[in-house]
Amino acid sequence: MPATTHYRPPPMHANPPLLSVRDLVVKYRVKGGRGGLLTAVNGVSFDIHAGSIFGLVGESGSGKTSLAHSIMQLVQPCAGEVLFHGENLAHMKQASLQKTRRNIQLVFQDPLASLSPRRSIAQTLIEPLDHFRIDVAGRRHARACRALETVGLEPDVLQRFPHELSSGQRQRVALARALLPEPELIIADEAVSSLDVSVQARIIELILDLRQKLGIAFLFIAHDLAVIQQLADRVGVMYLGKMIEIAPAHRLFRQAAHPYTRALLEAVPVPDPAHANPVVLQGEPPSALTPPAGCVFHTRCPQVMEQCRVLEPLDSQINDPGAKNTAHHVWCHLWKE
Amino acid sequence: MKTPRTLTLSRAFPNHAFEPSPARGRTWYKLQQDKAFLLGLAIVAIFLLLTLAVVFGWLGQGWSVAGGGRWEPVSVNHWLGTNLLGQDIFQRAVFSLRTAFEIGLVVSLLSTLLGALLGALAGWYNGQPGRTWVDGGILWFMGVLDSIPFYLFVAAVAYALQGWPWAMHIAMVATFWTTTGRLIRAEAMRIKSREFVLSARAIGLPTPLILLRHVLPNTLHILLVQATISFVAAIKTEVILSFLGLGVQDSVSWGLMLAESTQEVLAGHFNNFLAASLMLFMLLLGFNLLADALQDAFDPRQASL
Amino acid sequence: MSRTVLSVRNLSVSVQTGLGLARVVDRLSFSLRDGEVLGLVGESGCGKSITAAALMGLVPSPAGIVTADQIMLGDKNLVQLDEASLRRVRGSEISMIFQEPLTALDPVFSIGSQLSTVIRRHRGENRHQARRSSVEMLERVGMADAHRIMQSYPHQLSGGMRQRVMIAMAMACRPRVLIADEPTTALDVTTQAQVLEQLSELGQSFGTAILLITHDLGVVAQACDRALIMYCGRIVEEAPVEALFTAPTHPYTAGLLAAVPRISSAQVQRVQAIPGLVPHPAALPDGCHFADRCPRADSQCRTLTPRMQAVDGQKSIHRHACHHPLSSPSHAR
Repeated sequence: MPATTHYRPPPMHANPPLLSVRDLVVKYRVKGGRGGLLTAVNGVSFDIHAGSIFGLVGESGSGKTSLAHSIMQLVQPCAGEVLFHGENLAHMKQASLQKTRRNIQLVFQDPLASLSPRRSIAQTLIEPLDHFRIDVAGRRHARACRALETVGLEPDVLQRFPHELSSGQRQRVALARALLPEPELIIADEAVSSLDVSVQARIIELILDLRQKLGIAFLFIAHDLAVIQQLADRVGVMYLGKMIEIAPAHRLFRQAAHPYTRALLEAVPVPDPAHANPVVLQGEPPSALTPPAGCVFHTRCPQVMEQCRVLEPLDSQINDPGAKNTAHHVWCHLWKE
Repeated sequence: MKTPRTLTLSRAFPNHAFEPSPARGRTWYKLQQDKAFLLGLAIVAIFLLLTLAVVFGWLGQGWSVAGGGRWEPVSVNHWLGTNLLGQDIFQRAVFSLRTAFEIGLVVSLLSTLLGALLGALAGWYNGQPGRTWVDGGILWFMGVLDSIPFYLFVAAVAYALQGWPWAMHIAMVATFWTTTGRLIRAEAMRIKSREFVLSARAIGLPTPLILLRHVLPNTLHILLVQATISFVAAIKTEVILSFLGLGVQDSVSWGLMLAESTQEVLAGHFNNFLAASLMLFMLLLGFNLLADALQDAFDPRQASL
Repeated sequence: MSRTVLSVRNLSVSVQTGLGLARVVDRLSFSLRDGEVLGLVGESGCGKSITAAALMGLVPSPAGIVTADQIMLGDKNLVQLDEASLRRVRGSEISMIFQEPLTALDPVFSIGSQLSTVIRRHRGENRHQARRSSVEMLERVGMADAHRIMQSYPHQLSGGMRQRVMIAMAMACRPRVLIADEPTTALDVTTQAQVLEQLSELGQSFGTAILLITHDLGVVAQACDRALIMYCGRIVEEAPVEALFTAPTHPYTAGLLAAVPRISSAQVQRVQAIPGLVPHPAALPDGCHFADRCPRADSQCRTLTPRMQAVDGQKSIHRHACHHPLSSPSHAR
């Protein structure tokens, strides 16, 4: 494997996006104490095109996991829409919803928790095949074996139980399970975050391989920007329920626009002792129950202006590309058009 | 007496893949080494064999025959002597085993099953917008049952069913299930937010399948222990009910024997009392040892090798 | 040359598993010098957390068997101390902070109460003095509203704040050694930077040596002076941090460095995985444990266990345990 690869800008897409999220709002009722509504996702919009990897970055409390869950309809959004191939998921009838569920698969962070502990790997893999009635019953076992092969595991893993496998193997099983229905989109929620560095590297290689060979699109959610850079074509950055920047990967890492993104990039610890890590962001992120007025980031922003405290910034496109998916959007008063 | 807790190696060494142990059931392998478990198992096995002997008609069949004189001492004919009516104490004590097991099994199986199903439903629908009434309703029902004084309830059921032999069983199942129900409800609430359940929901698996395949199997450790505990509780309750005259009617049980023996003990004859108490004690001891050992062995947090 | 404040010789920890006795820490020897930050680096299961527990005497007893020639804290040998003396040493001379502060702090007691308890126990102050010292410590670790924090409960604070409270508790008695077990792993990247800075600053001003246990090489680069790389219970490389990152000599270290993703504003460096799997702790291969995954291994590696030796020309500042190390910096690259 070559040590460096040149970045190819993602191909121009004339086609509509595979997944389109528009002004999504997700709220939770908070139990106990003073109660109230927690707005986990507060009006988020973005597109994912077929065969591309969209990296979603955010720290804890940014709402990225709630976003993933609401796309899958595990949690009902309060407002906004999720369109898959142009169709609104919330308005779909059962039959189309089932088909969509085949097409969007989910992989979680903790592989030990995402595999049912008392079921063997074989049972776990055959379940989606049975449920979606994929292929003939007799051939499903063979499909499961092939899926395991694709992710680099031996078929003897089928008899094992989750706690008998290593974390890397478990995550591969989770990926194999996601691949079985032959989806068009896989949502990976912190899929490599709990893995050790060397195991993580292998899963990253695997994901790139899958995209290359099978053309599957990924919504890759993580808090680690370095990992995102390995995988993503396009990156979105979330803070406290709001999307604050979306850009093609090569632009984000070279010319990040939003102060939060810049602070995040500076804060990532670099494995190089000569590199000094300035502490750019002070203070604590505000509570999601009482988000700040105006721009959600203004309480910690090193470049805060008066209007930031009062006015919510709108979407500005700061480059002028041909295709929609190489556009660079930022939500910040510094960049108002 | 318990096995030393080994570290949770799966979590401590996530990069290792562990070969499955030679014995397919890792839990059984661990159990075999627990002396308390083996002792409990031995006791229960012996009693079970005796019960089977009674069921097949080889032992204890003469429990109602007034074959001997009043209060005869221990002899070859009557291994533990006779009671006030000349009935063989040993035969009565052994036949009571059948009563005990029957009550224990019926009540523990039914109450555990009922508790598991209703508890899982309540836990699953807890907090789900539009369906919280399921949880609310089941909880309310549990509350009502728990607030009725037990013996009052049993008396009421017994009266309503006019001496039907299953009155006592119904009464016990109706009150025992709530404990299991609450435990399973709590566990279901914990399990339903775990990622493997989310995976099942994400592919659109219908709720009953999720509950049966993913939620309930992960509560087995609770169910097994609860079944054992309610077995013991059922036997103890039957003893008290029979003592009060609300229990078995046309059979014999340790409770009845103990009731009889209150008079006899005053007259200085202890055989009846001792026979019933000792057998009761031994059986309950055996089951308690079993319950403890099973609880440890089935604790899913201990993924030892 | 600053003096050694903690000296460990041949520390071993064994654990009983279904497949036999597993040596999870294998004759570890290292020294911690006054005022330095030493990183103990490795992936999950390499034995670094158990090492920390063993140093504090916290390995659960029937499960883990700890042996060591010596664990010298100053002039006390911790191996020879009984539980009562160990308890006196813990918290006052050697203390520890953990990865997940929510579980390390007692949820039913307020922060003030927990902090004061530690101070009273080891510094013998009375209630008022202890409360004042607690407030001082909280301000020292950068908490703005110390009085309010004193009244709060652990669940009311954020992860970063809880970790600072842990640091305050651990440093309240000016210990000679602080063991920090993955202190920033559960924190966001922006909070992580703050906490690490706090930690090293406190270490400097209190004169406390820090043993920083982590799997994150970025954290090592940022916060440590020296580092020990662990694999399967053994130390495979020991070096000052600059040398470790620019010229690692052990293939495992090199493999780790190649597997860490780095942000680049130019071309992206693709991460490279280390082939193979970590061996089972109860079935460790003979010789070098890394041999099966090492591109430079030969038959000698699989039979003879490599011993720690100084890298050519580096005296004993930079050491490794390898039969075929990568070329050292004194050779031209």
